[in-house]
Amino acid sequence: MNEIIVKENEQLVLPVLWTGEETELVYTILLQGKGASVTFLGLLLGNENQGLKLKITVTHRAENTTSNVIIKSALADASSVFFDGLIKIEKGAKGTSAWLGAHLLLLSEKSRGIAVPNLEILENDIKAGHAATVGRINDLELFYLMSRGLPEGKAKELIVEGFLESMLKEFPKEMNDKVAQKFLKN
Amino acid sequence: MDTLVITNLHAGTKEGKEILQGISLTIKKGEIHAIMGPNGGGKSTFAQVLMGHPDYVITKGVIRLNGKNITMMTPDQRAKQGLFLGFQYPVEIAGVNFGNFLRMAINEQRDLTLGTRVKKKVSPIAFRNQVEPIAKSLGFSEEVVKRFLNQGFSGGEKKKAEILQLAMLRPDFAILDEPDSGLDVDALRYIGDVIQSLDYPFGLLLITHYQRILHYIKPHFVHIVVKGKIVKSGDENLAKEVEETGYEQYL
Repeated sequence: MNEIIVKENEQLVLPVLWTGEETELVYTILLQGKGASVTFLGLLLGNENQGLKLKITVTHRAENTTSNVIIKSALADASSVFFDGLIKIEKGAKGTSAWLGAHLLLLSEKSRGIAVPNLEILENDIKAGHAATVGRINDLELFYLMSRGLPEGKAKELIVEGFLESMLKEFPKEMNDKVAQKFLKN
Repeated sequence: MDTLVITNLHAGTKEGKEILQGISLTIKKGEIHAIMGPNGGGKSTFAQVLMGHPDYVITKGVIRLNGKNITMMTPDQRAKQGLFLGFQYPVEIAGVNFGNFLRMAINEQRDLTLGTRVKKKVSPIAFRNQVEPIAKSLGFSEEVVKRFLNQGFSGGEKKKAEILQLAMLRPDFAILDEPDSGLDVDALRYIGDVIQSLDYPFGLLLITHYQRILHYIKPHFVHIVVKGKIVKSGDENLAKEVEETGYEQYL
């Protein structure tokens, strides 16, 4: 369990890469001071029988706090991810802005993903939103790339890399290298 | 050799609905064939079946490209044999760089190809030098290849980007599925100019609902497809004729 407190005007960026080692990850983030902000970037790559339960709770306690939680996951073989995300905005946390997005891409028939985003809002003067998708590689995208001569494997790789692209560029280089290794393994 | 030969092609949906009911057509390199016909007649299905679209099943007939039977090949194998499909609705691929993808596609095809195409892999610099003038003549900035593939492109940009890919991939046979829908006159002219500027012999199958594009790309042959069959073939004048009289007489 990771408990993180963000203080007044502190801006925290938290990149988290999961490649199968842990089975459970819990993050509890408290935006305690005015103007505190957190960006949580979760990149979850599973294969074989790897499974992860990820629970993230972000509590907005002070005014003008900002949270941005973005989860992207690519799941091969029989791997699975259960994501449970909760954004709490307490009474008095005026001017708060919160976003929770989770996108899981299933690369095989056996992989599974569940994403449950929750918002608990006790203050009116705020902006908050969430989005969650769990899906497979689109047949039409695959056909389009293959029609240009890319074999199925390369086309799929390109689609997955594209899907993760927006997240990868936010990650430090050594994490990117780890991601590349994981891709080669798949 | 040097032909795309379609013989008695029957195809339908996976659910068993028959759409193409015996199409036969021979296209030689250097020829432009236009396929016209009413909506729902099977024109687009024909284009997609030729490229190996996963939603359709070929139930009878043969497709031969340069003498090779490609009927059962996967789309990428067909592309490597020299076939290209310009999509009616090009697909947006998030996060995939247009230029990197196109260069990858060119290099992928360089391994196997014969005849008119160069076999050497193309370097990033050579690629840039080749793509720039084509992009320009389509009214694109050269920055277009730095964007994500079709993502956020306008309808017209998507259609022009298909032609850009065609011009870079230099297939032996290209199918263009309604390249004119949603295009203004300027964009039509760009497309016509680029197709005409390709300096090698290739066969073109142009699928269109309207005669308008045929002013910019002059066909040698025009075929009318109704209910999954070619009901009439002729020259350019056939296109003018149906523009005036409509397709009703063939229904």
